[in-house]
Amino acid sequence: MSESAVQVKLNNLEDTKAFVTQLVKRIRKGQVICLIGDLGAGKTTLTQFLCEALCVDDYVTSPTFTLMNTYQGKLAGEDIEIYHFDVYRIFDADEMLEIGFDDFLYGDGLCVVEWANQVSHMIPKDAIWITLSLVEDGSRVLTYRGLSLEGADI
Amino acid sequence: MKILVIDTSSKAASTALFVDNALLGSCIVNTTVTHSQKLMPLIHTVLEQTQTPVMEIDAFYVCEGPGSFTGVRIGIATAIGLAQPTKKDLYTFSSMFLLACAIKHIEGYVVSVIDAKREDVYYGVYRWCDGRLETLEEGVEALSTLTNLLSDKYGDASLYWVGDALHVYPEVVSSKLTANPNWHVGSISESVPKADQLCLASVAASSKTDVFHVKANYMRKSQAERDQ
Repeated sequence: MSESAVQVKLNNLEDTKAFVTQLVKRIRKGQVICLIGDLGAGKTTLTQFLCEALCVDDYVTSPTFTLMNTYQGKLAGEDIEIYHFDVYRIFDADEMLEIGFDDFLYGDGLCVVEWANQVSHMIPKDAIWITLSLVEDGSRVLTYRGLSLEGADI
Repeated sequence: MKILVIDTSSKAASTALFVDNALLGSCIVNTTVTHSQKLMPLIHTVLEQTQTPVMEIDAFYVCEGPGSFTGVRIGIATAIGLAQPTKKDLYTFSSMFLLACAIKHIEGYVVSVIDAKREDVYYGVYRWCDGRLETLEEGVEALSTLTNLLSDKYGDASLYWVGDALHVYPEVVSSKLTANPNWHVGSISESVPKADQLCLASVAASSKTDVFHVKANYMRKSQAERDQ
C-alpha cells in the first residue's frame, strides 16, 4: 500500500458507476484491485459495475464459497480474463498458496480481491486498494490508494 | 534404457527422450499458452518422430518445481499418468537444478535464481564433479540478501548466475552481481529451462520416487519466517 489515500463520497449507485468508469480507464492487464469493507458496504456492487464496464455478460456474484469466479471481458478492445476472488473465509495465507493464487496475481488477467486485507502480504506492491465504508444515511465513503485519478471528473 | 524428461515449471514446456544417456529427441515451446494444451502434443511429437512407443520408456523424469503452480501440477500429473499404467519408474528434479544443468564445463559454482515474486527468489547452488551436477543448497531468499550470503560463503570462488530472476531484478544485478569480478551473469536464453539439458546421472543417483509418493515442491518460506 503506497501513496496517499483519497476519499470519495458515493451518494448513490450512479456515483459508484461514475467512479468505476474512471477506474477502468486506468487499469491494465495484470492489474490487481483489492476491495475492503464490511458486509453490505458495496464490494460486490462495485465489482458488478466494473465487470459491466469491461463488457462481461455473466451474472456477477460474490464467490464467497467458490473463492474465485472467472469472467471473460474486454479491456480497450482486447480480451481479458477477470478473476474475482473473495477471501473472506481465508485466515491462513498458505491456503491461498495451495490453490495457486500467485499464478493469478502475477498473470495477465485482472484480479479483483474482496477482503484482500486477510492476505495483504501476498498482494503485489502496485495493487490498487479500495476501501468502502457505510455511512448512517445509506451513502458510502470510498477510499482509494495506489491509483491516480487526477483530472478525472468524479 | 529409455528415459522421458518433462518440465513445465516455468512459462516454457519442454520434453526430451534419452536412450542410454544419449539424446534422441526433444521439443520446447516457450509461450504463455497453458501447459495443459502444450505438453501432450510435445510429448506426442517427440515419441512419434523418434518412433518410440510409450510402453518402451523405462523411466519418467519430471520437474517437481518450484515455479508456476499449475505448471508444476500439470507436469507431475502427466508423469503419473504415463508411469502408473506402464508401471515404470519416476524420478524428480528441481527447476533450479535443471537450469544449472545447462551450464556445463564450468569451474566453480552455478547459481540458479528463479523469480518467486515479492522480491524473493528460489535459488540453488551447484557444482560439477566427475560429470555429475552436485546440489550444495537450495532455498528461498531475497535476491539482494542471497548475494550477500553467497559472497560470504564462497568468497573469491567463481559463480555463474543463471535464471529469470536476473532479468526481473536488474537493479540488484547491476549493483551487486556485475560488481563482483568473480561472478558471471547468464543470458536470457540460459534462463529458459530445457529438458534436454538435464544431467540424468545426478537425478538417477538421488531422486527416485514413485507414483504414490511424488509431490510438488512449492518451496515457500514457513509462516514463522514470513512473520519476521
